[in-house]
Amino acid sequence: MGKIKEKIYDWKERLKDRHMLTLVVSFIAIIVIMGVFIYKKQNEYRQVMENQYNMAFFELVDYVQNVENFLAKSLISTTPEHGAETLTNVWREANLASSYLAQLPISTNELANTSKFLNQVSEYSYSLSRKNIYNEPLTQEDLDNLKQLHDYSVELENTLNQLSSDMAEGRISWGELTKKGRIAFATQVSNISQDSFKNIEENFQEYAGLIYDGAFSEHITTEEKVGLTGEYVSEEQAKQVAIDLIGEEKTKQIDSNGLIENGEIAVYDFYCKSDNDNQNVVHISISQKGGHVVLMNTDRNVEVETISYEDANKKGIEFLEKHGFPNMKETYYLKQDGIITINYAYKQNNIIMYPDLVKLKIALDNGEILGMETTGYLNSHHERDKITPAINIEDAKKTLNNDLEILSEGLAVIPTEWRTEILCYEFKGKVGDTEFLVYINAENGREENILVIIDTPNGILTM
Amino acid sequence: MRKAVKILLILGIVSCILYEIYQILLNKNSYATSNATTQSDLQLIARAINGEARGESYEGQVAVGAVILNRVKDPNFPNTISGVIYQPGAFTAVSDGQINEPIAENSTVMKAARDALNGWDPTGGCVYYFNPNTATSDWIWSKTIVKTIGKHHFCK
Repeated sequence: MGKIKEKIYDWKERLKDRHMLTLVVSFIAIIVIMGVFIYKKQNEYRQVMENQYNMAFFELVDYVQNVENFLAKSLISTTPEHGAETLTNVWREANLASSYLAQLPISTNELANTSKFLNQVSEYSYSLSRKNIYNEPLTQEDLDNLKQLHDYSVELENTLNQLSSDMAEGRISWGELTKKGRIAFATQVSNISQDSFKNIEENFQEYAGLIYDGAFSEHITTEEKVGLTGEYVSEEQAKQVAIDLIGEEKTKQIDSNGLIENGEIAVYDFYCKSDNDNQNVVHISISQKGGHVVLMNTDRNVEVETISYEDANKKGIEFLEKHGFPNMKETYYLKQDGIITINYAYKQNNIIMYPDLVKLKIALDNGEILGMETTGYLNSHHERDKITPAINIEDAKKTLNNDLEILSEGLAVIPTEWRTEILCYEFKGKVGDTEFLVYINAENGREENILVIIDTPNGILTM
Repeated sequence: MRKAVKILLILGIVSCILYEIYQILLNKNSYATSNATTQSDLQLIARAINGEARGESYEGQVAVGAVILNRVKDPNFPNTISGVIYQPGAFTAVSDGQINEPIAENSTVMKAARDALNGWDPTGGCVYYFNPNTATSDWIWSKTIVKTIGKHHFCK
């Protein structure tokens, strides 16, 4: 030890003699600084690569989900027009899925079968859609093939979802995925070769392709917000609406955030505290025009679930009636972490108006309303006249798939992508163990939409 | 004088090394342990919110999720959630890798992401937001500011 120290000192002295010490030290410093720079740059590049892989992966998951969803719909579609549309969608989504699959950092031979599957789905659905366009009916063989492809797609989707969860929680990263992916995709491939469609019911449960929003909730930003009626209100009046919404006794303090003019709807914003500490701030937006509740939201932990869906639903309907939303009917719901989100649609003469949508968030410990969202309702709510169907329900039924075992039927108004509304017969039915909602246009008997119902322990959702 | 220079140099080197060690340690996060059941999009949005608005109020977190979803609907941006989030240069949390930080299944950001997906939009349809203290481009100031939540200006 002492010897080394002596040697270093000796070396240092000799360098010092020839004025070399400063040079050597600064040389070392330069190397270290360069090293740090290179390390940082390399980190940055790695991050960029990682982000690209992530993007490709999540795109892939989404497209595979869509493939699966459209394949399911194509199985029960009966009219050639809608069938062709669905199959064209399968074709497009499968194409995109395979192009994103190709971007993943997993060697091609590991993915060969997955890639082949996607390309086959794509080509096959394209050829079937041509058939549909020329009005040739699909044969039993075609349908069997589609069913088989659909089963494979469910398998693939499950594998991808598992990988996605593993990544989200940090169990694997892309570096490892090149290895893990090998195993996961390999089992996937072996699953494909096995006959895997015994438990399609289970698969439908497991795949979490949930639409959190219910099927017809996409807010269509209509030019004119027909549900936003009434005179302009002052900030004081709006404040009173907010206090009524929370309840006078629960309002310890309410702060105004002023008029927010540039949003979709001009609103007065309020923050309400229900207890003295700073927890549980409730944010409320009241529209300037008409003083409608546009949004209310807060979050708190719900430890135990003591009330059922039915009770929560009852509380929700009572709440809606009390605050100026009569005749609302529950449609979809989703339950998570002790909080249930229920979608309500307006009901006029027993016809469900899906565009007129209000959502409530209810705590399952004491039934407190934690959130409310009314944009759909404010955009489109009005009393419709002329809502009588042109064709009768028996004719509409004739267009349905023979395999569909009808569970319930009714009339509903659904929004379209073109910001209009159509009156439809809504049939809820079953094929095998999977439930579907089929919408038949009440004017011309065309098949407008088919939805798959997913009944999970956490809620009823549609795809 | 010379001694002072030497000490400064050595101090500099040591601090560089310490900084790197710190960085390496920082990247080794403790892993979340809860069960994985939910959909990838939800997790992705939750992680983006976690990276972008961890210290914000609940409303501020829902707002960041809402901006992501508003972009998906907006023709000027990609049409998918992952396309929007991973669009190059769109979010700082993506560029610096904070988005990869693991999150727990029952964390607040997951709830915020769920609310955003369910349609709660406290921003009134905004597609941009920025922190006025750290914003580097002047261009962003040309947008109409709709609302300020916490540290972020939300604009159209």
